[in-house]
This record gives sequence, structure tokens and C-alpha cells, in this order.
Amino acid sequence: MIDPKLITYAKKKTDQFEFYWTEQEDLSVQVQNNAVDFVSEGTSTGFGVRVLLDGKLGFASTLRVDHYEECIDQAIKIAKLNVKDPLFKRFPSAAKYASVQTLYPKLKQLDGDAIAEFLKEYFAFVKEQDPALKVSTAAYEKSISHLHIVNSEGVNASASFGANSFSHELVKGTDALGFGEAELLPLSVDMVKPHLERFLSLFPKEKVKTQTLPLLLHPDALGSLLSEAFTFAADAEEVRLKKSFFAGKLGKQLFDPKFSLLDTALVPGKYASRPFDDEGVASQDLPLVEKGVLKNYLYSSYEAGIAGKQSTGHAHRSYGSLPTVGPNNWIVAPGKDSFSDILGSLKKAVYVKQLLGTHTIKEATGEFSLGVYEGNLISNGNVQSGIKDGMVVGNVFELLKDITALSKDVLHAGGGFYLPYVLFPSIKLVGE
Amino acid sequence: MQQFLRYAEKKGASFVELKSILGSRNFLQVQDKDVKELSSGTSQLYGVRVFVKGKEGVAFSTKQDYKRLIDQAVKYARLISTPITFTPLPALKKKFVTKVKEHPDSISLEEKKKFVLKLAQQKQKFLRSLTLDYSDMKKEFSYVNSEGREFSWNDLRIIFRCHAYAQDGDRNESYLDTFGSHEGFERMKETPALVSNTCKIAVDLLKAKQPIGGNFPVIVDQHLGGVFAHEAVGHACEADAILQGTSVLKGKLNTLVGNESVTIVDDKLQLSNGQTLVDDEGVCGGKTYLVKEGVLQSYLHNRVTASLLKMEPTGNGRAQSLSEKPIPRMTCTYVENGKSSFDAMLKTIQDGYYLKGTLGGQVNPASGEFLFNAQYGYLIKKGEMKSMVKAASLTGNIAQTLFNIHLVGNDLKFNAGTCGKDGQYVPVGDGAPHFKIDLARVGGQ
Repeated sequence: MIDPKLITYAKKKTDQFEFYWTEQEDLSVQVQNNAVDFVSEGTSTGFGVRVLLDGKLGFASTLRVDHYEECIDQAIKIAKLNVKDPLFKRFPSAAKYASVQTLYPKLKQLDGDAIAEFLKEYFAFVKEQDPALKVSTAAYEKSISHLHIVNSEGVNASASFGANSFSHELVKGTDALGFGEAELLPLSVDMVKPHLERFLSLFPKEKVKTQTLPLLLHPDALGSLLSEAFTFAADAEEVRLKKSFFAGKLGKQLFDPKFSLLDTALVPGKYASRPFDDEGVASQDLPLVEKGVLKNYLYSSYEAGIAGKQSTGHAHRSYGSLPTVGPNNWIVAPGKDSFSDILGSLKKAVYVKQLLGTHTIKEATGEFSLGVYEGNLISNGNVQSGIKDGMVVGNVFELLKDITALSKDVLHAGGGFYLPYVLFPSIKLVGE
Repeated sequence: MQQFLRYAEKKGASFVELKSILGSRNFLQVQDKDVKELSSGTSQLYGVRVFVKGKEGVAFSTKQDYKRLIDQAVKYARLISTPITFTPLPALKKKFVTKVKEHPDSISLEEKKKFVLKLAQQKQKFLRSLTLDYSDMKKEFSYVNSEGREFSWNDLRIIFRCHAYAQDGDRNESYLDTFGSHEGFERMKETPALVSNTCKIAVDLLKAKQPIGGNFPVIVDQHLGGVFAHEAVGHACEADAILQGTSVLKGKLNTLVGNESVTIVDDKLQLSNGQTLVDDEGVCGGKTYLVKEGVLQSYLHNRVTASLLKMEPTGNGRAQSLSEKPIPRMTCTYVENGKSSFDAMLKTIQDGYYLKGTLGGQVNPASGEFLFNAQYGYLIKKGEMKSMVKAASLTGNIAQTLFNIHLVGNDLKFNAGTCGKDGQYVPVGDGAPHFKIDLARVGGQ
């Protein structure tokens, strides 16, 4: 926690200040070739300081626990060198926070031996499914962190967070496929069992012809598209700089009326829930898209100050970086049909579950040309062979203009994404 | 440090490494002619790695407390399934210092700020936004192990990044160029040309069309070629992928894997972003030939993979941080110069593409399939460059593609990048001269 002496020190020397202190404990158990081969445990304590002096901002950070005063001095030195920032208003004021549980006792208790037990059970299950199946790499990571934010405007916020994740890559013959799962409570092997079924359903893999087909997107694939294209587009800074596709489009019907997207940090148990953001701004529910209409942008306090608004509580940072804007939990409203009904209705379609190279999506325009990492063809309502060497070409923002159906099933698609399956009328599948 | 080595041995460790990294960093970001961020940071991390009866354990902390770290590392080592042994290395002591002409510390933050602000004064029609990032990083790495190996590396690196956004009506385009190097501020001399070129390309892209997809002969530039060397060949040469059976190059050592005009190396000594004078296991590497005149020569090793495959360690055992496992990673991977000129290559193409730059790419090393997205390029018709294209992707298979490279240029250049593998990110360099792929799949419209 932050020493009150540092607060007194900064009060004397700055006009405004903000301290961000975090201590994190990590435990990582890694697997290679069906065996535990690496365990690492450690702690790191970081301290970041933002100061305002004569309208100038300064920022410095340190991992040296005995250098906090020097760190404040360095931030002051940088502020003096900086130019005045007329866009900066002030650090957030004190606020009341909702109570959201972010660290569960069961996760606290999870130790290396419990993780080893999980892995034993997991290996046995993999072997039972298919003796030819191998786990090339896997990692079980657990982290617990304590966060304390104090600023000159009255914010004094602290909370503890805990999360754990399991990622694994499965290999059969010359084919490999990776999956991940992350939750606030300890993971069970049952949660990762569907991954094996998904992998085995790809065989035999076949090359495909170039063709235009209806596209059924798995929540995992939808999540990676939204994560790249929407995170950038919804960022108030990108909007102000007119780099965002959403710039000037607030209140406009941009997407299919079936598409609604809610940002929230207040739902208990959801992965990205938190009582306050990384500047100590209270979390809230924020509809981003309602029935296809763009409703809001995501703000940090800096951008909100420029726009003359309140921060929406979307600042994300570590001790060593300045806040940037990012999503909390993103929940897409489900549709009416079950996944199996949607599947059953399809004569011919491409079913994409994971995409390759999503970081190459053009943020400004939404254009993409991506490899099908995990996908199948669908014929007469049945999932057919897996796709080898396929690529899909399209535009995220164009795709969402026309949605055929959304499933009523909603899955946790990594990070804070909670999404349904979505059917689109057409996509270009590039093959031979 | 000797007392801690002895303490770990008393606790049952047969091999011990004690490491520390002290770092500091200055960062400056200029956006649209104004300073957006000016910041600095310091870091310190202490790490311990032990092998107890062949089982590995690692512990780390921002606090210097080697005794506690040794206890922690020893405690969890027992969870490891299979004990491993690796060939011992002889005692060796070396001190490395990255020498530069103009040390960034000799230039005040004020001067650096002025320099970058001046670069941001670009006037071009349709240029809407320009972001410039400058950072310099100092790192003191210390390494001691129970074999009597001791290293220190006083390192320095600068990184520059230029991202230009252009707009014409509803149409937006952007272009990014960057470099990173173990050089001093002298390297910044090339930035005025880099920045104006980046802005020009972003603006030119406003008129570029997506290419028509299909199979074509393709010339790739140094950027895209470097990414090809890294993604398609380098990853498949990493010895952990060989051991896991996930590399298409497994079992191909000393056989022809490509045309004889193809030579690809991983060079630990290049000043480029990935330079690794001593790796995270105390191995000092040099230039490793991966493919020499079409023949697969070597894999990239950490100490464990080298022992398992009964080969020499290559100094490629790198970790993102002291908390992570050193695994086989590339350093600076590039295609060596050939003999062709760019014009000569161009003249051989009736109908094809010249693809430039990269928005990244990925490869499945098990099957050899790769996908790269070029930033832009040009249509080639009858040996001449025609209209500009954008958002072109290049896909293919490593095994076939390496045999499809006959013409390699003589204008090698390096690029800076960051490589992610098993959740670990390390700085890398890559490079290539221009080269021609006789037939490749280009994706577009």
C-alpha cells in the first residue's frame, strides 16, 4: 500500500498528482509434450506517478521499491520539460464504488499442487480421447494482485484481483491447434474438454475452392474481430482524432438492428468486472450499440475532460504505462435461435471458430484478410470436414450491417467477451 | 553471489543460475506536432533458476532476496514430470558493453524532444495524423551460475516508430515504419527520410486498390522478405518445435530444403533489434546458418534442446523476463544477399506483384502453411511496376516456397520487430534483400 509520507511529499511539490501502486503474485505451471516442464513463482511491486505542475504533465514509474521518492522527483522533472497540455483538466474526483467481488477465496487457495492435479486429470482425458493426440505446449497461470490508487483530488481506491487461465496447443499428425480458457474461479477439466472435441472435428482436413458462402462465426472468432476492430473504433481518442470508423456516427444506424453490444464491469463473476477503473473512476454499464445504433464511446478521464464529459471508467494501465482506453466486459445480446437450429438451417456455409493473424485487421477501415485457423464447411445442417489453407476476406463493419441470426447460447469467448454465435449471409472464402 | 550458489547447492540444486536486470527507459511520443507523452521508468528484477535432481524451478522478485527465491524455486521444482540433464559448459567470465557513437544520456531530454518535434513538421495534402515514438533503453544484465560462468552486459537500445494516417473523404489509410537497434542517437540521422517516406506512402494508399487474388510470381521487399525469413523459416528451425514434432523441417538436417540461391542466417551479433551477445542461460552465440545454399544446416537451441539433440548450444535460449523459461528464440534472422538486381527481377515478370512492408503474419510450423499481410505493393505488368495495391496477403507453404525462390537481390536491409511465442515477447530483428517467389498465392478481392 502507498505510504502516507509520499502523499504529503507530493502535495507539497505538485499541483495535482496520482499514484498507482500494484503488487502482483504470479504462479505459472507449464507443459511441454504431455509433461509438466516448468514452474515459476514470483512477486513484483510497481509504482507509477503522474503529476501536474503549471499545467504540465509528468509521468515516471519504477519497480525499485526503495526509489519511490526519486520516482516522484523524476515525474516532476519530466513535467517541467513538458509543454503545457491545455487539454488536460484534472485527475478524477473521489467517488463511491459498487461492491464487485474480484478475488475469490477458492482462487487464493489454488497452489502448485492443485494445478498439478488438474494437469494429471487433463492428460488422462486427452489420452482417452485419442492416443494419437499430443499436448505440445500448455500453461496454467494464476495471478493475484493488489491495487491502490491515490490522487490529489480525493480518490483513494484499493482492491484485490485474482484470475487464472489455461492455454494449450494440441497436435495430431502435422496439425496443431491452440485454445485458451480464463476465469476468476479455479478451472475444471470439464471446461477444457470441448476444445478436444473441436480439434478432432477438423479431421480429415481438406482444401477448399474459392467461393462465397454464408458465414457462421463461433463466439471465439467474433471476439477476436471485435477485440481488434471495435476496441479501436470505440476509443474516444481515436474518434477525436478521426481515425476511428465510429467518428461522427453517434446515434446513427451502423449495424443490423439485431446487434446490441453492452459494456459492463459490474456483473459479478464476469472476467473483466471491477469496481473502478485504473484511474479510480467508478464502473458503470454502458451500451455501445443498441439495435444497431451507435450509442457511446469509451472514455478515460483525459479524453472525457477534452469532450467536457465524465469518464466512462475505461482507463486501463499498468504501473509503468499511462492509461489507455479499453473495453471492460463486452456482452452481445443473444438472439432467439439455438445454435443447433441455426446450424440445421444451413444448406451450405463456412463455420469459422478461430482466425489467424487478427492483429492485421485494418483498424481504421475494418478490412481483413485472415487465415481460417479453425473452421469447417457446413453442408445440409451438418458440420463437414475441416478447412485446410483457407482464408476469409471481408470487413468487420460491413459484416455487422447484415446479420441473419444470433444464437441464444452465449459463450465466454476469452477476456471479458461474452458472445453468441452469429450467422452472416455471405463471406468470401479464398482457397484453391 | 558465491554464498547464494552454495546455499542453493546445500538445498539440493545441482545447477543454479542467479540473474538480475537493472533497467531504465525514456519514452517520447509526439502526436500531430505536439508532445503526447514524455515519461521515464526504472526497473529491477532478480531471478533464480535451479535444477534439483534434473527438475527445474524458477522464482523471481523485484526485491533482492536470493535466499528466499532459492527456497521458492526449489519448492516447486518437484512438480516437474521428467528430469532432464544438459551438457555442462566450461567456466567463462566476460563483460560486454554496447558501444555507441552518441550515447542517448549525452543528449538532454529537452534536445530529444526538440529533435522529434521537428520531425513531426510534415506538410502533405491528405495527411491527417502523424504519431512518432522515440525510446531509449538501458539494461544492465548480470549472470552467474554454478559452472563458474559469469557475464555482464551493459546494453543500450533505441527504437523509433512512425505511424502516418491519411484521409480523403470517407477513405482512411495508414502506414507504419519503425527501426530498433543497439546503436546510439546517431541512428536518428535517418529519421527525416523515414518520416517523409512514411507520410507519402500513407497518402498514396488512398488511391490504391485491393489486388485481384490468385497465383502469381511475386517480388517481396526487404521488410516482407525479412518477415518471411523469421516466420516461415526461423520458427520452423527452433529446436523445441523439432522435438515436439511440430516443425515441417524435422528430420531435414543436411538435406536440400530450398533452392541453392537461398541462404538464411540467425546472427546474434548484428546491431539490429534482436542482438543477443549472451543469452539468458549464459551462452555466447554468433552467426548460425539455418539454410546455406538451400541445405538445412542448423536448428536454434537453448541448452536443453542442444543436449537432447546432441548438438552444440547456439545461444538462442532467450526469455522475456527472469520469470520465464529460456526457450529457443530467434535473434536477428535474415536472408543473405544474392546476385540479382531489383530491375533484373522485375523484367522476368509478365503478370505479377511487387509486395512491400508487413502488417505481420503467422505460420503453422507443423504444416508449413504461412500467411503474411503486405502493407502495400504494385501490380507488375510486362516487367514494369504499375498501379499501387493495398491489403494484399501472401499465403503458401514453406516447403514449396523455398524451392520457388531462384532470384535473390543484393540489397539486404534490417527491420525491427517483436516476436511472441508461448506467451513470451522478445525483441527480434529480421531482414532480407529483395527476392522473387516464382509462384505464390496472393489474396485480395
